[in-house]
Amino acid sequence: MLLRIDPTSSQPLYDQIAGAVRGQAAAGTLRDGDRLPAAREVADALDVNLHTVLKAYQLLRDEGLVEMRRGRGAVVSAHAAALAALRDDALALAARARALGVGADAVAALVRAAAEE
Amino acid sequence: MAAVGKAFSRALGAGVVTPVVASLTAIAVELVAMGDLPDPVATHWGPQGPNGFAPAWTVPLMTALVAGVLPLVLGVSALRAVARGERGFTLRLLPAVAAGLSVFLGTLLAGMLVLQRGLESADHAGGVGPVMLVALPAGAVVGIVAWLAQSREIGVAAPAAAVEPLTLQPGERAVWLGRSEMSPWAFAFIVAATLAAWAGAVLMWVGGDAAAAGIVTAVAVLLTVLSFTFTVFRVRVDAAGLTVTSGAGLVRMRVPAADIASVTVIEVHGLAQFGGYGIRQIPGATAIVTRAGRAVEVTRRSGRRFVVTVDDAPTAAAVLAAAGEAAHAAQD
Repeated sequence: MLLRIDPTSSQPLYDQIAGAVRGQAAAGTLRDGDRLPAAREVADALDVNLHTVLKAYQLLRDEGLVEMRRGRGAVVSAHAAALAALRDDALALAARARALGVGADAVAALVRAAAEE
Repeated sequence: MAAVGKAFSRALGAGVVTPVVASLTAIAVELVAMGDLPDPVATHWGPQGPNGFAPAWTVPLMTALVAGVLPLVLGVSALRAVARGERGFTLRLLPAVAAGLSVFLGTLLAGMLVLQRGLESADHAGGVGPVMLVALPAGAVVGIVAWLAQSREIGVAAPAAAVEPLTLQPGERAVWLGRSEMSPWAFAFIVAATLAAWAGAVLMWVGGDAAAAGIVTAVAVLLTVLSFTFTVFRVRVDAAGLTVTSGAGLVRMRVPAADIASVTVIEVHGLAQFGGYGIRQIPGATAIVTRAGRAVEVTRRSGRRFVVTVDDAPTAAAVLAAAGEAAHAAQD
């Protein structure tokens, strides 16, 4: 599992970690049943606080993308397939927004508004 | 292509045809001798003559297993790699061992029965010395001929795929966390073997003698420890370099980022390149091979190579190459 974070970014670190996991689920590299590495291992490797990673995993669990299983840690749920199914639509929307000169934040806000309607 | 065909047919002859012919011939001889044998027959000899006995029908069964199936497993395991175009010492050795072993054991078991033809009781069976005198040289000669007949080519390593380091923004951190795991079938086989050893140990303690029970228990413990240690490895690539930790954490290997000279992705077939699976040490390289397939290969500044099979090797290699570059940049 590839994780990229930028500590100088304004986006919180836990959000970046969760985003990386989400992105790989959407891309199909993380699938239903795949085990996420232990939070401590991620924290050590990225040189961030353990609670930052736990918060990211918590966020993913609340979204339903990850299930916490006793003895197996954090496991990717069947929800990953749903994210992967939306990926092509997201790419198409992003391409159209770029062509129209609409920024990523504006698109995200549009999608959020549409989802909450 | 002609060379592949020749190497394959030689390996097929030594590793498959020879064991099939040798074991079937031995079984045929045993079946012919069957009508004329004491019951039970002697199957084991000590210094004072026969000391182990079994019904005669167990001998052809034993022959099929140890002179047929066992050598065939050895031969076929090499044959698949030879068919893929691989060559190497182990791939030359395995079919030769299969051929020699099947001839030796087939001759020994069949000769053992032939010696007992016409006896009233197996207690009167003479020594197996004469059979050994035939079986051992026969097996050795067939094994050596099979070795000499095998292709002498040296393995041609598949060209390593160059790796483009992951491009990172200033301040950005990238890590790759993954596992090096056996295929589910290989893992299931090891779990089954371990459970069987434990079942055997329990049976031995209940019904057998204490010495045998102790040995079987030790084997079961060893298998359990080995399967926990060597079937799964956690692989971590971060700014510090590459870290590989065995399942139970007993073994940990590192390649520091500053020690990385180059990173590539290679195709690994354990048998041809590293002589097997697990943690392999060969001259100039250390390899963690849990399955055949793609692996990350790191060359250290000393020239030593470190290889680990992982899923998504290209991504792991790209992150590792970037970590190496960053470490070198920091040193300059």
